[in-house]
Amino acid sequence: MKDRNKHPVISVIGRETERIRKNHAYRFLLFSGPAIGILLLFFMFREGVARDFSIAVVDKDQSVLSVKISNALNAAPDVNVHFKPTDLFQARQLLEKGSVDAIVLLPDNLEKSVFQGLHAPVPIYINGTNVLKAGIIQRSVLTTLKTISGGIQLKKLLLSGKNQQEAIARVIPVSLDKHVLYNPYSNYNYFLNSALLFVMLYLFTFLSSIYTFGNELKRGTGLDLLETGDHSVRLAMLGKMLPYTVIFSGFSIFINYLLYVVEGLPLNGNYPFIFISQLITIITYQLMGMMLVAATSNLRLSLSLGGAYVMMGITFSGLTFPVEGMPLLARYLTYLFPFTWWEKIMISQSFRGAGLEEAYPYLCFILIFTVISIAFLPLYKRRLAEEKHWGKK
Amino acid sequence: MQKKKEKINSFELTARHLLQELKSIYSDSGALLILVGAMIIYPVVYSIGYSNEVLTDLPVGVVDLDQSSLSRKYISMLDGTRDVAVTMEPASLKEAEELFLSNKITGVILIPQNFEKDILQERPTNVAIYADGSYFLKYKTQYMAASYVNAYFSGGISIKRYIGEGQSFRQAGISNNPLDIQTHLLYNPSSSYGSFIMPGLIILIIQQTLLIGIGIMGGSFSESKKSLFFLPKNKRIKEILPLVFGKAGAYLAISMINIGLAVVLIHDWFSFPDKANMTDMMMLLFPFLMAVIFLGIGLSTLFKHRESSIVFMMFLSPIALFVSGISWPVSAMPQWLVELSKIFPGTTAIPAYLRLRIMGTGLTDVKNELLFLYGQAALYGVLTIGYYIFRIRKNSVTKNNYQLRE
Repeated sequence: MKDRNKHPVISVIGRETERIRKNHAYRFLLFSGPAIGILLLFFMFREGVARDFSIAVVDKDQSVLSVKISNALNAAPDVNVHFKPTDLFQARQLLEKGSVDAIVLLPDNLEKSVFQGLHAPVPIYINGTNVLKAGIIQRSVLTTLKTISGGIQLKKLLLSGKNQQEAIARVIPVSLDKHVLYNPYSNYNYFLNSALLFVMLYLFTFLSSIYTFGNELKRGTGLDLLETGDHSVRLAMLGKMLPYTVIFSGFSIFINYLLYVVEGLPLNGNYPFIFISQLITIITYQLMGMMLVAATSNLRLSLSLGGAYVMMGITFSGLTFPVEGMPLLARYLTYLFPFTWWEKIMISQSFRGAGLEEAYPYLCFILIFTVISIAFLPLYKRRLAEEKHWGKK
Repeated sequence: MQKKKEKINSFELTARHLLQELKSIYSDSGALLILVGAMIIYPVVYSIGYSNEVLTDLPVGVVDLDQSSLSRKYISMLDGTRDVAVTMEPASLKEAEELFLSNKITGVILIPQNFEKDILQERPTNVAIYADGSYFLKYKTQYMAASYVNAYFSGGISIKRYIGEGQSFRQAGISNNPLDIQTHLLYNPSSSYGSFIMPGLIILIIQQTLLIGIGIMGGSFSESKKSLFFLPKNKRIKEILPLVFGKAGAYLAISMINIGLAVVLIHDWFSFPDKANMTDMMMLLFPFLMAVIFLGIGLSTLFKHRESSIVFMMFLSPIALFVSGISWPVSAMPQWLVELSKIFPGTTAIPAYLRLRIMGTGLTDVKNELLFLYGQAALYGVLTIGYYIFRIRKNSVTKNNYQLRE
């Protein structure tokens, strides 16, 4: 049946391509799935910056100053005055319904108090449920109100006979110059997409690897695979993995194109190193898929575990909540995911432009996973050959 | 035997399907892991990751080019904040950069030469902060800490000057802040990350594990060797309702245990904010669960292999996470994506749940979401039942054709 002249690896590649062609689940895992996932995430964070959160201004004063404050808030880029309820009770209802995210109360006699030099409180109530949103709103509202307050202070100082420079030095004795390193636009898109698109890539790499290695056991085709690979599990593995490595490397180039060319993500470091790391991470996830199947000899269990593992990697890479803030136990857990190290490479090489010597150790951590997975090859070979593992779902 | 089967009423049939489903879940390790195990492992592991709630004492370096008493005061004020700790005082910005690149510090603050002199001579001066924008939360924490310290430090200087001009302390305070802005962060005053992300995430985990779990069990017509039905072929149309409701009942029972565990116990262990009335919360979660379960049963019929459904649902998980608006505001996403994401009941349920649980609003404030979820549950239920009827009809038609041809 089999062409004796062909190199075993080529025969296995041919066999695998045939399997991919015949089963639409493979086609989903290899083509439409990653493409849909990557593009959906890409579009989701395309805007990059959240703007126009709706707020309510309760204007009890109805004075020139209060109208000025309300207009200034409306003009701020991050918030929009969507409602002007007549009292705090109505405003609270809007907040509880989720129609507004913050309330600014401008009390009675605000203008009068300010001009008479009396205490003029302006309370702001911010819905703190979403920390991210609350932070943006707080910053925006505070900046606007502080600017107005500073303006009033400046005018009063000028009226009291101070010159411009003296007055400014009184209002802002020390100013804070903000330099956001590596992400000057505070773009959340850069930050999230640079990580999440790769989560999607590695998720599909891992799951498709589990699927194809597990299917050999489930369908009992292990002996056929070994035979095609000239009874060498290493050659069989190579041939079986190669089509996937090529396809997923293609996707990683596609992601790099989206990030660096379409989005303009900073690329301050070494691109060849980033790409090689991507390739190694892809191969590592493929081998880990084989390891999981060999360890459980159960396709469905492996898929469930594999998916859960990749998902947890998001949390423990420190992407959402920095590793420094985690308790000791969780900090050790972060070591157990190749994704943590990949994320460090990405930040070091793409954002920071750090020297390669900083990134080498991270790559070595990924290689540890590669080596451990390869050690499971003999076990996988046994599973392929033993009939008792066949048909196990 | 045949007669006995015909006599069975639909309640008994529903009960049989319910038990049958529970039994099959119990005997499938993959499904058991997802439906029961994951609900223990996920929330606990995630909550441990976030259990410190806030980022404290981020190491920063201060380059003090002034070396004066005022600059030292500024540094000790920075060090005194909850958010950052001044761990290094590099001599130059170059040295600071090296420390930063070797991950010894996460940000740099530069106090310029003549800092004290400028202040004493009433000349404006400035302090520069270099915060790491490649990690969002770190950047935010550092910047907020520096802003607060700077505002207090500046305020102190101005107030002293006003007092020097003869104003009372109280009057100086008012002169310095004509508008006294009082910020009240409601519901999560310390901006705790765990309290922010976990309650919604738990609901999302319930949704995704249910969808994956139901998918693993499969409702497929093609793969399972054993028939889904107890009744003979000609009576199967009558068995569809008991089948669907029996299955739904089984998943509802498992979900109730999961809810008791994750939504009640784990929520309590990690002291996440809880202002909800338990009955209100259950009133909201019930239609949510029904919608998820019917969606799950419906989707599971579409997959030829049960494994495919794991893959399909798994890859939708990160997407479902973000469209629920738990972290990134939905208002910043494209509208078509937001509308599309309403296919997931969680997209509607999670914001409503957070309002109930964290903000302590009443059920009337989530009325629209509640009605939407009931509508969704009904729609998914009807579609699923419709699909079963279609398949059974189609099967019998194909069979008749086959017999005719023979």
